[in-house]
Amino acid sequence: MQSAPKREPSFAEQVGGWTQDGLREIRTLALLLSESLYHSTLGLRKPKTLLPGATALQMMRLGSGALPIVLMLSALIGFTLAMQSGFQLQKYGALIFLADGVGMSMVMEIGPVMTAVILAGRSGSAITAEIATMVVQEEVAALRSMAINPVHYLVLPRFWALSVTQPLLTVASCLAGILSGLAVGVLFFQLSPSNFMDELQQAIPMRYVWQGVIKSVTFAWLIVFISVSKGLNVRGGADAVGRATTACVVNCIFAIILADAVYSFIFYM
Amino acid sequence: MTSSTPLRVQGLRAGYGEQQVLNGVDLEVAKGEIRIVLGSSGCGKSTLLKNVAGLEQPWAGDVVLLEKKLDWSEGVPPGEFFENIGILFQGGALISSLTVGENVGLPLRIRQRNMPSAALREKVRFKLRQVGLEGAEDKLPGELSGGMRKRAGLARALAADPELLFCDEPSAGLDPVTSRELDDLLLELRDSLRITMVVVTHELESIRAIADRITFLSKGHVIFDGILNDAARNSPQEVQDFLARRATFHKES
Repeated sequence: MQSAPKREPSFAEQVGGWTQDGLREIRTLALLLSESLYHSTLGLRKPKTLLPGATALQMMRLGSGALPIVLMLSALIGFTLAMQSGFQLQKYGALIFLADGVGMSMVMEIGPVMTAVILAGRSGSAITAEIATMVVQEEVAALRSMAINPVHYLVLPRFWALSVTQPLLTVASCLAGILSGLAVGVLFFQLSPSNFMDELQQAIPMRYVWQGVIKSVTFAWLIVFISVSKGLNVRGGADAVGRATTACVVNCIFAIILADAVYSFIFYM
Repeated sequence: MTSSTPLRVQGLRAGYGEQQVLNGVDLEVAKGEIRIVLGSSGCGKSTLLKNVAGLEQPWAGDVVLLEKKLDWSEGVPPGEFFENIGILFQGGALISSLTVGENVGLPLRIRQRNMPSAALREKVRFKLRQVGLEGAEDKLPGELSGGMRKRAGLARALAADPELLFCDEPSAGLDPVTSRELDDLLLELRDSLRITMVVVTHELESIRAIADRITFLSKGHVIFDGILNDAARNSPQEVQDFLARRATFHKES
């Protein structure tokens, strides 16, 4: 018997499908979030599922390994910011405010967001690819068969690794950007280093530094939850791993920028 | 805990999404028996194994393992459910970031929490020796051949001395010699440890070598349950055709 040709879904059906997929994704993420928060805090007292040094290993892989690229990109951004704003400020005889511009931009915005975007691309994609491959090769099923909760085993070390290393990397990023701005100020605009540093101290109260740290920890959590969720929910073979990794990076960057906007509203309203 | 029928399955229905794969499967496996589950591709063999072993939640029906009913009320089976079972996955499913020794030691770390490190290392060495992999503790799974990975997977499945062992396509992807060695190993383990085994496979050579009884699945139903010799004579035509085709294929290859 010949089957009827498959009908293309209407626009309304497509919208319905997307909404359903979106809601399913939010539900999965919410469940994973609650489970992850439990395992990363109260669940720490659980049996010795993790091998000694699992969190330290993830810190090295996900955090320390990103240091060179974070430093390099932040220094380049600091350089560009200082060059562009330096020439504008020079016109008005306000060169000393170069320290304010570079410092505030790096600490409040560029440091946390740039570090998070780099880590989403580097560490988030690595987490998704690793976990998705584990799912495809039945390693996650093997964990379940040994009564090991995959969320406990996979999320806990990565959660703590990024929660600790991302703020440190953010601080390193801010320092690299500011030092690069200082170098531009001294070499191209004849600013004295001591004047630059004095202005910087006045321009950036500790409150801004803490806000940057809070943002960076939030971004770290978003990266971990989204990348683990994308990895654990993969279905299919090698192509599905690739798709999950791409989706992880896109979703992480979107979530980081959205969270940044929310924080801007909370901090500066 | 011992039982004369360590595994009982009644009216098991299962599937993926809206597609039903198992359509009311009944199964009883006796202690110390090697039960082969076979059937054509897509008949539901692996789905049956995953549902019986607590890796996937059935739609309906009961799985009673060592006199305890599999309970999904909390969304996952209780940890104790897995204490008496071991699973050998198709590709071994060793955790690729851990060494072979760490992989084999993993279930022991969970189930025998107070075991001192030295005793744990010794038990890991013993289990690896049992499957012919002594000295491979420090190797990573990526450094092993397909047969060695399966042996390592078997050592991990046996690590906590389970009463019931599930094997998913143990001979898949192996050359005939390695496959035969693995079959011999399963027989040896059954005889020495009295482990009950449920093996999913469609390799006729393996079935002939190790099966005590076979369960033939077709379109989500059990259409034959008995010993292999009976299957060749007193079974539905589909079973006889399947076995005859496999036999011809083996002769030709």
